[in-house]
Amino acid sequence: MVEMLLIVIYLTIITFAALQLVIMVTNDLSMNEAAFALSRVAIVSKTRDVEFKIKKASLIFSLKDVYVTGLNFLLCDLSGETKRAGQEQSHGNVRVYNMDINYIQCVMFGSLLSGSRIGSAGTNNMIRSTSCSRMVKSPEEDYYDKAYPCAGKF
Amino acid sequence: MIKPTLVQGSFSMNRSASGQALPYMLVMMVVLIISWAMMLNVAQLLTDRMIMQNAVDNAALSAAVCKARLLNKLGQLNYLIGCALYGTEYGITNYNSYGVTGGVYGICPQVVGAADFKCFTDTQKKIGSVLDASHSGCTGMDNGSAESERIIVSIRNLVNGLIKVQDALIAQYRFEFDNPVLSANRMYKIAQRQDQINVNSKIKYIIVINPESLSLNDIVRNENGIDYCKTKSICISVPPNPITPAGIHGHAFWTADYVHERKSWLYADQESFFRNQKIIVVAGSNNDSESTKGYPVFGKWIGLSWPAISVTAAAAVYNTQGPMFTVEQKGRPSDEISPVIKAYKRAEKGGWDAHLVPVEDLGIMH
Repeated sequence: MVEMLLIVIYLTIITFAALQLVIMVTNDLSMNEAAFALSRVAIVSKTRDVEFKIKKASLIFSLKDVYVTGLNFLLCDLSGETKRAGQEQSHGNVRVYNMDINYIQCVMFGSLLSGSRIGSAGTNNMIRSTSCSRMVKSPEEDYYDKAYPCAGKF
Repeated sequence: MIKPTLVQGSFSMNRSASGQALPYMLVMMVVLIISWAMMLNVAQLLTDRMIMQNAVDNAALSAAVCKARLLNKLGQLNYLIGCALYGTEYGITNYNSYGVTGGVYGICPQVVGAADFKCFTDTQKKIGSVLDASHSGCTGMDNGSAESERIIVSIRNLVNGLIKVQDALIAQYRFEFDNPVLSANRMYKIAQRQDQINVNSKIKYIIVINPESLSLNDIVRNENGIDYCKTKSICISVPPNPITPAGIHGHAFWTADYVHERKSWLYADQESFFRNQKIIVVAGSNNDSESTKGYPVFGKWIGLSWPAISVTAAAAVYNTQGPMFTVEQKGRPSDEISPVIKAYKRAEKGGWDAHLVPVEDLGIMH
């Protein structure tokens, strides 16, 4: 009886660890895709709209993942940097967008593993992860909706 | 396992402890296998989607680059046509069918360069030689020189040759793109090539492209017609006399012996030019792709089928300086040549280029 109990406990730990690993990998895959999609949003948006559009788009990813995987927090961090390039490219400047998605995943029985009391503000059963994507923006964002200076919109 | 044994004349059930955790382990294994299957399915789905998105981005951008290159070539050839017709430096000019100029006796305003022939206009209606207009000397009549005729013929051949090159480029482009089926096929090839470079998995997908975006219906040939002609001229000199103390010196000239050509440069239709020119490529994956063979894992058992993946990308051509062509009302283009040259010179620095653009302006679908 005791042996069976030990085996059951042992199996439970292995099973839940494997399950946790699967959930984390699935979340990482989804977040990687989200970073890819969001950085794509950033490179085809006008600079003044980028923040707004990223927030709007990330909200959708966030809601989806809350529903599907129990991912309960998502923080998007978009940073743009301007690099010098050849003179022929938009006066020598190229805009690069880095999309970092910092997200927190719940770990099953995390409080037990960390050795702290259960329900200690709920911070010990969470794990912080990041997924990144980097893309280069078109040097001429004024022409996202028209072909030349006096042209009508597409 | 139950073993019946006889103990003190009665049967009892003796249960062994081995294998008791087996059902639990089996249940846990099922849970684990289902979660692994889920992970594999999600991974494959996301991988396919990323590959397709990249493929479609490349397809849209490639199409836009092809169009941008074509527009640059057509623009350059248009400029050359304009220069050939406007080319005063070759002694060629374009003017009305007659003209009169003159001055006092002994001073020819045309010969000394002090006066301009007012009849010279910036139109393609008549293309003749300025040499003919000044050929008749001080007095006499001239029927157009052989030299100027050779120049006019060579200009005509040059313009016709440039028009043919433009037509050949347009025909080649139309052969590849200016049809929904052809353009989709072309896009598919580009996307497939990109897919094969990146990953071994081969996704089968169907590509749909908006046909108007790649058509060249908004670039139209000016068919007002050109008259290549000789210039005939007459010059009269009257020495000083009591009626006209300073004397009179005058030229009159007119065009003759026309050779009519129907076609000239290209212009852009102002109604449609680059209004609906966003190249939108949509791709949907097939369920029988090699990459999805065997997916979704355990799908058959639970009646799950592999979802269709759909991705969209948009690209467009742009020029930061101008359209490179004169933008005019379709069927009613101007005869003026200099705007053709100016339109190219203005847009030359920018040049047509291509980039990815938002699919639609909602902030989500990109």
